[in-house]
Amino acid sequence: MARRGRVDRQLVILVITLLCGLLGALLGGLFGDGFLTVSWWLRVLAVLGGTVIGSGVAFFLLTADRPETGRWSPQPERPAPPRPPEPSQPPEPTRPSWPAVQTPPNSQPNRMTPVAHIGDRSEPETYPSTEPARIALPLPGGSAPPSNGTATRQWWAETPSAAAPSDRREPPALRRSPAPPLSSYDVESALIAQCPRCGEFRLDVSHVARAYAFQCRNASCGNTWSWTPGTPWPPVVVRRNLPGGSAPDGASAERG
Amino acid sequence: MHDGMYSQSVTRSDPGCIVILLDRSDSMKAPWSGTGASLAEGAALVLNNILLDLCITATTEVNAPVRHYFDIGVFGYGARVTTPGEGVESAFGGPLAGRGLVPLPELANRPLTVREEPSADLMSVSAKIPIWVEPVRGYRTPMCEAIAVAGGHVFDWAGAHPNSFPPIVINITDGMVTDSPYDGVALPEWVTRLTAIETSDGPTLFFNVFLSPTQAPEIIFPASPAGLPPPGPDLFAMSSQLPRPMVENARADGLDVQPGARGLAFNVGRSTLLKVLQIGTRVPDRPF
Repeated sequence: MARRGRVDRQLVILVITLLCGLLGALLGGLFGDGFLTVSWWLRVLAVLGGTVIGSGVAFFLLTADRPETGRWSPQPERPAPPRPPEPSQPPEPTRPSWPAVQTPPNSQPNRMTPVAHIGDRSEPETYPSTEPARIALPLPGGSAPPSNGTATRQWWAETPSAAAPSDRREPPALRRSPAPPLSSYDVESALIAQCPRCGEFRLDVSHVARAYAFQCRNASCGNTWSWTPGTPWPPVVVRRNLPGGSAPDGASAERG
Repeated sequence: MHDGMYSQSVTRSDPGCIVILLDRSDSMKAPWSGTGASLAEGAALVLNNILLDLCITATTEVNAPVRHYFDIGVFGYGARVTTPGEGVESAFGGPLAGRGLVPLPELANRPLTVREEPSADLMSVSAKIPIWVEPVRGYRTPMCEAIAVAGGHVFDWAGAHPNSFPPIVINITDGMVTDSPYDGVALPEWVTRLTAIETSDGPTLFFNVFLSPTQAPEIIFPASPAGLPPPGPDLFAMSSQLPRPMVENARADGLDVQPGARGLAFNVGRSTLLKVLQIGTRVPDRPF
Protein backbone atom coordinates (compact mmCIF):
# COMPACT_ATOMS: atom_id res chain seq x y z
CA MET A 1 0.00 0.00 0.00
CA ALA A 2 2.88 2.36 0.85
CA ARG A 3 4.66 1.42 -2.39
CA ARG A 4 1.59 2.22 -4.49
CA GLY A 5 1.31 5.59 -2.77
CA ARG A 6 4.92 6.36 -3.60
CA VAL A 7 4.41 5.54 -7.29
CA ASP A 8 1.35 7.71 -7.47
CA ARG A 9 3.24 10.55 -5.93
CA GLN A 10 6.09 10.32 -8.39
CA LEU A 11 3.64 10.18 -11.25
CA VAL A 12 1.98 13.34 -10.06
CA ILE A 13 5.30 15.05 -9.80
CA LEU A 14 6.21 14.11 -13.32
CA VAL A 15 2.91 15.26 -14.69
CA ILE A 16 3.18 18.59 -12.95
CA THR A 17 6.68 19.08 -14.23
CA LEU A 18 5.57 18.33 -17.74
CA LEU A 19 2.62 20.64 -17.54
CA CYS A 20 4.72 23.44 -16.22
CA GLY A 21 7.19 22.93 -18.99
CA LEU A 22 4.44 22.94 -21.56
CA LEU A 23 2.95 26.03 -20.07
CA GLY A 24 6.25 27.76 -20.40
CA ALA A 25 6.56 26.66 -23.96
CA LEU A 26 3.03 27.82 -24.71
CA LEU A 27 3.70 31.19 -23.26
CA GLY A 28 6.77 31.45 -25.33
CA GLY A 29 4.80 30.46 -28.37
CA LEU A 30 2.11 32.96 -27.67
CA PHE A 31 4.64 35.64 -27.41
CA GLY A 32 6.08 34.50 -30.58
CA ASP A 33 2.72 34.65 -32.31
CA GLY A 34 2.52 38.34 -31.88
CA PHE A 35 0.19 38.59 -28.96
CA LEU A 36 2.99 40.59 -27.67
CA THR A 37 5.86 41.70 -29.76
CA VAL A 38 8.76 40.16 -27.98
CA SER A 39 12.16 39.30 -29.06
CA TRP A 40 13.32 35.72 -29.42
CA TRP A 41 15.31 35.79 -26.25
CA LEU A 42 12.15 36.65 -24.29
CA ARG A 43 10.57 33.58 -25.77
CA VAL A 44 13.49 31.51 -24.61
CA LEU A 45 13.25 33.09 -21.19
CA ALA A 46 9.56 32.22 -20.98
CA VAL A 47 10.26 28.61 -21.82
CA LEU A 48 13.13 28.46 -19.40
CA GLY A 49 11.04 30.14 -16.73
CA GLY A 50 8.30 27.60 -17.11
CA THR A 51 10.78 24.81 -16.89
CA VAL A 52 12.39 26.24 -13.77
CA ILE A 53 9.05 26.70 -12.10
CA GLY A 54 8.06 23.16 -12.92
CA SER A 55 11.36 21.81 -11.71
CA GLY A 56 11.05 23.83 -8.53
CA VAL A 57 7.63 22.41 -7.84
CA ALA A 58 8.91 18.93 -8.53
CA PHE A 59 11.90 19.47 -6.30
CA PHE A 60 9.72 20.76 -3.53
CA LEU A 61 7.43 17.77 -3.73
CA LEU A 62 10.29 15.33 -3.85
CA THR A 63 12.16 16.79 -0.91
CA ALA A 64 9.23 17.51 1.39
CA ASP A 65 9.19 15.73 4.81
CA ARG A 66 7.40 12.41 4.84
CA PRO A 67 6.26 11.80 8.34
CA GLU A 68 4.71 8.41 7.46
CA THR A 69 8.02 6.80 6.46
CA GLY A 70 10.54 8.81 8.44
CA ARG A 71 13.42 7.31 6.49
CA TRP A 72 14.93 10.58 5.46
CA SER A 73 14.74 14.10 6.57
CA PRO A 74 16.05 17.14 4.74
CA GLN A 75 15.64 19.13 7.94
CA PRO A 76 18.87 19.82 9.68
CA GLU A 77 19.12 17.99 12.98
CA ARG A 78 18.35 20.07 15.97
CA PRO A 79 21.26 20.19 18.35
CA ALA A 80 20.80 17.83 21.27
CA PRO A 81 19.82 19.58 24.47
CA PRO A 82 22.67 19.86 26.91
CA ARG A 83 22.81 17.03 29.43
CA PRO A 84 22.09 17.97 32.99
CA PRO A 85 25.25 17.86 35.06
CA GLU A 86 25.90 14.60 36.88
CA PRO A 87 25.15 14.95 40.56
CA SER A 88 28.37 15.04 42.52
CA GLN A 89 26.81 13.18 45.42
CA PRO A 90 23.93 10.82 45.60
CA PRO A 91 20.71 12.48 46.76
CA GLU A 92 20.03 12.54 50.46
CA PRO A 93 17.52 10.04 51.77
CA THR A 94 14.01 11.42 51.85
CA ARG A 95 13.19 10.08 55.26
CA PRO A 96 15.58 8.13 57.37
CA SER A 97 14.14 5.00 58.84
CA TRP A 98 15.70 5.73 62.16
CA PRO A 99 17.84 8.40 63.80
CA ALA A 100 21.45 8.60 62.79
CA VAL A 101 23.70 6.47 64.89
CA GLN A 102 26.74 7.13 62.74
CA THR A 103 28.46 10.22 61.34
CA PRO A 104 26.37 12.42 58.97
CA PRO A 105 26.12 11.22 55.40
CA ASN A 106 28.05 14.12 53.90
CA SER A 107 31.08 13.66 56.08
CA GLN A 108 34.32 12.64 54.48
CA PRO A 109 34.36 8.89 54.13
CA ASN A 110 37.30 7.25 55.79
CA ARG A 111 38.43 4.39 53.60
CA MET A 112 40.21 1.61 55.32
CA THR A 113 42.51 -0.47 53.26
CA PRO A 114 41.11 -3.96 53.41
CA VAL A 115 43.31 -6.67 54.72
CA ALA A 116 41.95 -9.36 52.45
CA HIS A 117 43.85 -10.40 49.39
CA ILE A 118 41.51 -10.49 46.47
CA GLY A 119 42.53 -13.28 44.16
CA ASP A 120 41.09 -14.48 40.91
CA ARG A 121 37.51 -13.50 40.52
CA SER A 122 35.44 -16.28 39.08
CA GLU A 123 32.01 -15.78 37.59
CA PRO A 124 29.21 -15.41 40.10
CA GLU A 125 27.60 -18.70 40.87
CA THR A 126 24.42 -19.25 38.91
CA TYR A 127 22.02 -22.11 39.28
CA PRO A 128 20.10 -23.59 36.37
CA SER A 129 16.40 -23.19 37.05
CA THR A 130 14.52 -26.42 36.94
CA GLU A 131 11.36 -24.73 38.10
CA PRO A 132 10.73 -21.04 38.58
CA ALA A 133 10.30 -19.88 42.14
CA ARG A 134 6.82 -19.29 43.45
CA ILE A 135 6.16 -15.73 44.46
CA ALA A 136 3.15 -15.19 46.66
CA LEU A 137 3.00 -11.41 46.14
CA PRO A 138 3.84 -10.33 42.57
CA LEU A 139 4.99 -6.75 42.74
CA PRO A 140 5.52 -4.15 40.02
CA GLY A 141 9.10 -3.85 38.86
CA GLY A 142 11.31 -0.82 39.44
CA SER A 143 12.46 1.60 36.78
CA ALA A 144 16.21 0.98 36.92
CA PRO A 145 18.28 -1.98 37.94
CA PRO A 146 20.66 -1.90 40.91
CA SER A 147 23.94 -0.25 40.13
CA ASN A 148 26.24 -3.00 41.35
CA GLY A 149 25.84 -5.00 38.17
CA THR A 150 25.16 -8.38 39.76
CA ALA A 151 21.36 -8.13 39.90
CA THR A 152 20.63 -6.21 36.72
CA ARG A 153 17.30 -7.84 36.12
CA GLN A 154 14.06 -7.17 37.95
CA TRP A 155 13.78 -10.54 39.62
CA TRP A 156 10.87 -9.38 41.80
CA ALA A 157 8.73 -8.90 38.70
CA GLU A 158 9.54 -12.23 37.06
CA THR A 159 6.64 -14.60 36.63
CA PRO A 160 6.83 -17.63 38.86
CA SER A 161 5.12 -20.95 38.23
CA ALA A 162 1.41 -20.67 39.06
CA ALA A 163 1.45 -22.40 42.43
CA ALA A 164 -1.66 -21.84 44.52
CA PRO A 165 -1.24 -21.81 48.33
CA SER A 166 -2.97 -25.15 48.51
CA ASP A 167 -0.18 -26.61 46.38
CA ARG A 168 2.24 -26.11 49.21
CA ARG A 169 3.60 -29.44 50.43
CA GLU A 170 1.72 -31.18 47.63
CA PRO A 171 4.30 -32.99 45.50
CA PRO A 172 3.89 -32.34 41.77
CA ALA A 173 2.46 -35.33 39.96
CA LEU A 174 4.82 -37.28 37.77
CA ARG A 175 3.82 -38.42 34.34
CA ARG A 176 2.71 -41.97 34.79
CA SER A 177 3.86 -44.50 32.30
CA PRO A 178 1.62 -47.49 31.57
CA ALA A 179 2.19 -50.63 33.59
CA PRO A 180 4.41 -53.23 31.91
CA PRO A 181 2.74 -56.43 30.77
CA LEU A 182 2.59 -59.19 33.36
CA SER A 183 4.47 -61.53 31.03
CA SER A 184 7.57 -59.40 31.68
CA TYR A 185 7.29 -59.86 35.43
CA ASP A 186 10.27 -61.69 36.90
CA VAL A 187 9.65 -62.69 40.48
CA GLU A 188 13.36 -63.35 41.04
CA SER A 189 14.27 -59.75 40.35
CA ALA A 190 11.22 -58.20 42.01
CA LEU A 191 11.97 -55.38 44.38
CA ILE A 192 9.61 -53.99 46.98
CA ALA A 193 9.99 -50.26 46.66
CA GLN A 194 9.70 -48.02 49.66
CA CYS A 195 10.41 -44.35 50.08
CA PRO A 196 13.88 -44.07 51.62
CA ARG A 197 12.83 -41.09 53.66
CA CYS A 198 9.59 -42.23 55.26
CA GLY A 199 9.02 -45.85 54.28
CA GLU A 200 5.90 -45.16 52.26
CA PHE A 201 4.87 -47.83 49.76
CA ARG A 202 2.73 -45.56 47.63
CA LEU A 203 5.05 -44.27 44.99
CA ASP A 204 4.84 -42.70 41.56
CA VAL A 205 7.39 -44.03 39.15
CA SER A 206 8.46 -43.14 35.64
CA HIS A 207 11.05 -44.58 33.37
CA VAL A 208 13.90 -42.24 32.50
CA ALA A 209 16.44 -43.74 30.10
CA ARG A 210 17.92 -46.70 32.00
CA ALA A 211 16.81 -45.45 35.38
CA TYR A 212 13.54 -45.00 37.18
CA ALA A 213 12.41 -41.78 38.82
CA PHE A 214 10.34 -42.19 41.96
CA GLN A 215 8.22 -39.82 43.94
CA CYS A 216 6.69 -40.50 47.32
CA ARG A 217 2.94 -39.96 47.48
CA ASN A 218 3.00 -39.23 51.18
CA ALA A 219 1.82 -35.64 51.33
CA SER A 220 4.15 -34.96 54.25
CA CYS A 221 7.15 -36.34 52.43
CA GLY A 222 7.09 -35.88 48.67
CA ASN A 223 10.62 -37.25 48.44
CA THR A 224 12.00 -37.76 44.93
CA TRP A 225 14.86 -40.01 43.94
CA SER A 226 16.09 -42.11 41.09
CA TRP A 227 17.25 -45.70 40.93
CA THR A 228 19.04 -47.67 38.27
CA PRO A 229 18.46 -51.42 38.02
CA GLY A 230 21.48 -53.30 39.25
CA THR A 231 22.32 -50.74 41.91
CA PRO A 232 21.32 -51.10 45.54
CA TRP A 233 18.10 -49.53 46.70
CA PRO A 234 18.78 -46.51 48.93
CA PRO A 235 18.60 -47.23 52.67
CA VAL A 236 15.06 -46.89 53.97
CA VAL A 237 14.23 -45.15 57.22
CA VAL A 238 10.65 -45.44 58.38
CA ARG A 239 9.37 -42.22 59.87
CA ARG A 240 5.89 -42.15 61.24
CA ASN A 241 5.88 -38.68 62.73
CA LEU A 242 6.62 -36.48 59.76
CA PRO A 243 5.01 -33.08 60.45
CA GLY A 244 1.70 -32.47 58.79
CA GLY A 245 0.96 -36.06 57.88
CA SER A 246 -0.57 -39.24 59.26
CA ALA A 247 1.34 -42.40 59.97
CA PRO A 248 1.42 -45.07 57.32
CA ASP A 249 -0.50 -48.12 58.41
CA GLY A 250 1.64 -50.70 60.12
CA ALA A 251 4.76 -48.57 59.99
CA SER A 252 7.14 -48.72 62.89
CA ALA A 253 8.33 -45.52 64.46
CA GLU A 254 11.97 -44.64 64.10
CA ARG A 255 13.43 -41.24 64.66
CA GLY A 256 15.34 -40.00 61.63
CA MET B 1 1.02 -18.80 60.56
CA HIS B 2 3.72 -21.43 60.26
CA ASP B 3 1.47 -24.50 60.27
CA GLY B 4 2.92 -26.96 57.84
CA MET B 5 5.76 -24.62 56.89
CA TYR B 6 9.43 -24.57 57.72
CA SER B 7 9.39 -28.28 58.39
CA GLN B 8 11.68 -29.42 55.60
CA SER B 9 15.05 -30.76 56.62
CA VAL B 10 18.23 -29.93 54.76
CA THR B 11 19.63 -32.84 52.81
CA ARG B 12 22.10 -33.18 50.01
CA SER B 13 19.24 -33.46 47.56
CA ASP B 14 17.42 -30.48 49.09
CA PRO B 15 20.09 -28.21 50.55
CA GLY B 16 19.30 -25.00 52.37
CA CYS B 17 20.38 -21.45 51.60
CA ILE B 18 21.91 -18.96 53.99
CA VAL B 19 22.68 -15.41 52.95
CA ILE B 20 24.37 -12.87 55.20
CA LEU B 21 24.09 -9.17 54.46
CA LEU B 22 27.00 -7.50 56.22
CA ASP B 23 27.09 -3.79 56.92
CA ARG B 24 30.38 -2.33 55.73
CA SER B 25 29.60 1.30 56.39
CA ASP B 26 32.08 3.68 57.95
CA SER B 27 30.37 3.53 61.34
CA MET B 28 31.46 -0.09 61.67
CA LYS B 29 34.84 1.27 62.67
CA ALA B 30 33.43 2.07 66.09
CA PRO B 31 34.95 -0.06 68.84
CA TRP B 32 32.74 -2.88 70.05
CA SER B 33 32.44 -2.46 73.76
CA GLY B 34 34.34 -5.03 75.76
CA THR B 35 36.01 -6.70 72.79
CA GLY B 36 38.96 -4.49 72.01
CA ALA B 37 38.10 -4.58 68.33
CA SER B 38 35.83 -2.66 66.00
CA LEU B 39 32.31 -3.67 65.01
CA ALA B 40 33.62 -4.63 61.55
CA GLU B 41 36.35 -6.84 62.97
CA GLY B 42 34.03 -8.43 65.48
CA ALA B 43 31.33 -9.11 62.92
CA ALA B 44 33.84 -10.67 60.51
CA LEU B 45 35.22 -12.84 63.29
CA VAL B 46 31.78 -14.10 64.25
CA LEU B 47 30.86 -14.68 60.64
CA ASN B 48 33.94 -16.78 60.02
CA ASN B 49 33.13 -18.80 63.13
CA ILE B 50 29.58 -19.41 61.95
CA LEU B 51 30.78 -20.54 58.55
CA LEU B 52 33.19 -22.91 60.26
CA ASP B 53 30.35 -24.21 62.44
CA LEU B 54 28.30 -24.94 59.34
CA CYS B 55 31.19 -26.84 57.78
CA ILE B 56 31.71 -28.88 60.94
CA THR B 57 28.01 -29.67 61.31
CA ALA B 58 27.90 -30.88 57.73
CA THR B 59 30.74 -33.33 58.36
CA THR B 60 28.99 -36.39 59.70
CA GLU B 61 32.05 -38.61 59.99
CA VAL B 62 35.68 -38.07 60.84
CA ASN B 63 37.73 -37.13 57.78
CA ALA B 64 34.63 -37.33 55.61
CA PRO B 65 34.04 -34.53 53.11
CA VAL B 66 31.72 -31.72 54.03
CA ARG B 67 28.22 -32.49 52.82
CA HIS B 68 26.35 -30.11 50.58
CA TYR B 69 23.75 -29.14 53.13
CA PHE B 70 23.80 -25.43 52.37
CA ASP B 71 24.58 -22.86 49.75
CA ILE B 72 26.12 -19.83 51.38
CA GLY B 73 26.30 -16.21 50.34
CA VAL B 74 27.81 -13.23 52.14
CA PHE B 75 27.24 -9.79 50.66
CA GLY B 76 28.87 -6.68 52.06
CA TYR B 77 27.22 -3.32 51.59
CA GLY B 78 28.95 -0.01 52.02
CA ALA B 79 32.60 0.07 51.05
CA ARG B 80 33.53 -2.09 48.09
CA VAL B 81 36.90 -3.69 47.69
CA THR B 82 36.99 -5.10 44.18
CA THR B 83 35.65 -1.92 42.60
CA PRO B 84 36.49 0.93 44.96
CA GLY B 85 33.52 3.00 45.97
CA GLU B 86 30.19 2.51 47.64
CA GLY B 87 27.97 -0.39 46.75
CA VAL B 88 27.30 -4.07 47.26
CA GLU B 89 29.55 -7.01 46.49
CA SER B 90 30.28 -10.51 47.57
CA ALA B 91 32.26 -10.37 50.79
CA PHE B 92 34.17 -13.54 50.07
CA GLY B 93 37.85 -13.11 49.48
CA GLY B 94 40.60 -15.12 47.89
CA PRO B 95 39.55 -17.92 45.53
CA LEU B 96 35.87 -17.23 46.20
CA ALA B 97 36.08 -13.51 45.53
CA GLY B 98 33.14 -12.24 43.53
CA ARG B 99 31.11 -15.40 44.01
CA GLY B 100 27.43 -15.24 44.90
CA LEU B 101 26.07 -18.41 46.51
CA VAL B 102 28.76 -21.00 47.16
CA PRO B 103 28.09 -24.66 47.99
CA LEU B 104 29.26 -25.52 51.47
CA PRO B 105 31.80 -28.15 50.39
CA GLU B 106 33.46 -25.65 48.10
CA LEU B 107 33.41 -23.04 50.83
CA ALA B 108 35.11 -25.45 53.18
CA ASN B 109 37.86 -26.20 50.68
CA ARG B 110 38.61 -22.67 49.60
CA PRO B 111 39.06 -20.28 52.49
CA LEU B 112 40.95 -17.06 52.03
CA THR B 113 43.48 -18.11 54.63
CA VAL B 114 43.86 -19.86 57.98
CA ARG B 115 45.13 -17.89 60.93
CA GLU B 116 45.06 -17.51 64.65
CA GLU B 117 42.00 -15.59 65.80
CA PRO B 118 40.64 -14.70 69.22
CA SER B 119 37.64 -16.59 70.48
CA ALA B 120 34.37 -15.18 69.16
CA ASP B 121 32.61 -15.71 72.47
CA LEU B 122 35.16 -13.65 74.38
CA MET B 123 36.92 -16.59 75.94
CA SER B 124 40.59 -16.04 76.59
CA VAL B 125 41.70 -18.76 74.21
CA SER B 126 42.51 -18.25 70.57
CA ALA B 127 42.52 -20.78 67.79
CA LYS B 128 43.46 -21.21 64.19
CA ILE B 129 40.40 -20.95 62.04
CA PRO B 130 39.79 -20.59 58.31
CA ILE B 131 38.98 -17.07 57.19
CA TRP B 132 36.49 -16.35 54.41
CA VAL B 133 35.48 -12.77 55.18
CA GLU B 134 37.72 -9.87 56.12
CA PRO B 135 36.61 -6.72 57.94
CA VAL B 136 35.95 -3.82 55.61
CA ARG B 137 34.30 -0.50 56.37
CA GLY B 138 33.74 2.83 54.70
CA TYR B 139 31.14 4.97 52.95
CA ARG B 140 27.47 4.73 53.85
CA THR B 141 24.78 2.05 54.23
CA PRO B 142 23.11 0.98 50.94
CA MET B 143 20.91 -1.63 52.58
CA CYS B 144 18.21 -1.52 49.90
CA GLU B 145 20.74 -2.23 47.19
CA ALA B 146 22.08 -5.11 49.28
CA ILE B 147 18.63 -6.67 49.38
CA ALA B 148 18.19 -6.08 45.65
CA VAL B 149 21.50 -7.77 44.83
CA ALA B 150 21.07 -10.66 47.24
CA GLY B 151 17.46 -11.07 46.17
CA GLY B 152 18.48 -11.97 42.65
CA HIS B 153 20.67 -14.80 43.91
CA VAL B 154 17.97 -15.98 46.32
CA PHE B 155 15.38 -15.90 43.57
CA ASP B 156 17.47 -18.09 41.30
CA TRP B 157 18.31 -20.44 44.13
CA ALA B 158 14.65 -20.88 45.11
CA GLY B 159 13.81 -21.64 41.50
CA ALA B 160 16.43 -24.36 41.43
CA HIS B 161 15.42 -25.80 44.83
CA PRO B 162 11.64 -25.56 44.97
CA ASN B 163 11.27 -28.13 47.76
CA SER B 164 14.05 -27.01 50.06
CA PHE B 165 13.81 -25.25 53.39
CA PRO B 166 13.24 -21.58 52.49
CA PRO B 167 16.24 -19.27 52.18
CA ILE B 168 17.46 -17.60 55.35
CA VAL B 169 18.71 -14.04 54.95
CA ILE B 170 20.36 -12.42 57.95
CA ASN B 171 21.12 -8.71 57.91
CA ILE B 172 23.86 -7.50 60.26
CA THR B 173 23.90 -3.75 60.63
CA ASP B 174 24.75 -1.00 63.06
CA GLY B 175 22.93 1.99 61.73
CA MET B 176 20.79 3.97 59.40
CA VAL B 177 19.93 2.90 55.88
CA THR B 178 21.05 5.62 53.50
CA ASP B 179 19.68 4.52 50.14
CA SER B 180 15.96 4.34 50.84
CA PRO B 181 14.14 4.76 48.55
CA TYR B 182 16.34 2.82 46.14
CA ASP B 183 15.20 2.52 42.56
CA GLY B 184 12.02 4.26 43.67
CA VAL B 185 11.24 1.70 46.34
CA ALA B 186 11.55 2.10 50.09
CA LEU B 187 13.31 -0.37 52.35
CA PRO B 188 10.17 -2.09 53.73
CA GLU B 189 9.00 -2.88 50.22
CA TRP B 190 12.41 -4.26 49.30
CA VAL B 191 12.08 -6.59 52.25
CA THR B 192 8.59 -7.55 51.08
CA ARG B 193 9.99 -8.40 47.66
CA LEU B 194 12.68 -10.55 49.23
CA THR B 195 10.36 -12.43 51.56
CA ALA B 196 7.92 -13.00 48.70
CA ILE B 197 10.41 -15.49 47.30
CA GLU B 198 9.36 -18.88 48.57
CA THR B 199 9.79 -22.59 48.21
CA SER B 200 7.18 -25.24 48.83
CA ASP B 201 8.13 -25.09 52.50
CA GLY B 202 7.46 -21.39 52.99
CA PRO B 203 8.61 -17.84 52.29
CA THR B 204 12.15 -16.56 52.64
CA LEU B 205 13.09 -15.70 56.21
CA PHE B 206 14.59 -12.28 56.83
CA PHE B 207 16.28 -11.70 60.17
CA ASN B 208 17.99 -8.62 61.50
CA VAL B 209 20.82 -8.15 63.93
CA PHE B 210 21.51 -4.67 65.19
CA LEU B 211 24.95 -4.06 66.59
CA SER B 212 25.64 -1.36 69.12
CA PRO B 213 29.12 -0.14 70.03
CA THR B 214 27.96 0.83 73.49
CA GLN B 215 26.87 -1.24 76.42
CA ALA B 216 23.11 -1.51 76.17
CA PRO B 217 20.49 -4.05 77.19
CA GLU B 218 20.32 -6.85 74.69
CA ILE B 219 16.94 -7.71 73.22
CA ILE B 220 16.78 -11.08 71.52
CA PHE B 221 13.84 -12.40 69.52
CA PRO B 222 11.19 -10.02 70.85
CA ALA B 223 7.52 -10.82 70.34
CA SER B 224 6.49 -7.17 70.28
CA PRO B 225 8.08 -3.90 69.23
CA ALA B 226 6.93 -2.27 72.44
CA GLY B 227 9.81 -0.85 74.39
CA LEU B 228 12.33 -1.19 71.58
CA PRO B 229 14.44 1.92 71.14
CA PRO B 230 14.92 3.28 67.62
CA PRO B 231 15.51 1.76 65.13
CA GLY B 232 14.09 -1.32 66.84
CA PRO B 233 10.44 -0.92 65.80
CA ASP B 234 11.39 -0.53 62.13
CA LEU B 235 13.66 -3.56 62.26
CA PHE B 236 10.97 -5.54 64.12
CA ALA B 237 8.45 -4.80 61.38
CA MET B 238 10.87 -6.03 58.73
CA SER B 239 11.91 -9.21 60.55
CA SER B 240 10.25 -12.55 59.87
CA GLN B 241 8.62 -14.49 62.61
CA LEU B 242 10.86 -17.22 63.98
CA PRO B 243 9.82 -20.62 62.63
CA ARG B 244 9.19 -23.43 65.05
CA PRO B 245 12.54 -25.25 64.66
CA MET B 246 14.41 -22.06 65.49
CA VAL B 247 12.13 -21.29 68.43
CA GLU B 248 12.98 -24.72 69.79
CA ASN B 249 16.67 -24.10 69.17
CA ALA B 250 16.50 -20.82 71.02
CA ARG B 251 14.68 -22.32 73.98
CA ALA B 252 17.18 -25.17 74.08
CA ASP B 253 19.89 -22.53 74.38
CA GLY B 254 18.15 -21.02 77.37
CA LEU B 255 16.46 -18.08 75.69
CA ASP B 256 12.96 -17.13 76.68
CA VAL B 257 11.17 -17.01 73.34
CA GLN B 258 7.51 -16.10 73.34
CA PRO B 259 4.94 -17.02 70.69
CA GLY B 260 5.15 -14.65 67.78
CA ALA B 261 8.81 -13.90 68.38
CA ARG B 262 10.57 -12.24 65.47
CA GLY B 263 14.02 -12.94 64.12
CA LEU B 264 15.48 -9.75 65.54
CA ALA B 265 18.42 -9.31 67.89
CA PHE B 266 19.00 -5.81 69.14
CA ASN B 267 22.04 -4.21 70.74
CA VAL B 268 23.83 -7.55 70.81
CA GLY B 269 27.35 -8.14 71.97
CA ARG B 270 29.79 -10.31 70.10
CA SER B 271 29.11 -13.55 71.93
CA THR B 272 25.36 -13.01 71.59
CA LEU B 273 25.79 -12.36 67.87
CA LEU B 274 27.47 -15.73 67.59
CA LYS B 275 24.63 -17.41 69.49
CA VAL B 276 21.95 -15.67 67.42
CA LEU B 277 23.58 -16.68 64.16
CA GLN B 278 23.91 -20.25 65.38
CA ILE B 279 20.20 -20.35 66.20
CA GLY B 280 19.26 -18.68 62.94
CA THR B 281 21.24 -21.09 60.80
CA ARG B 282 20.51 -24.31 62.60
CA VAL B 283 18.03 -26.24 60.49
CA PRO B 284 17.30 -29.96 61.03
CA ASP B 285 19.31 -32.08 58.69
CA ARG B 286 19.02 -35.67 57.58
CA PRO B 287 21.88 -38.06 56.94
CA PHE B 288 21.19 -38.38 53.18
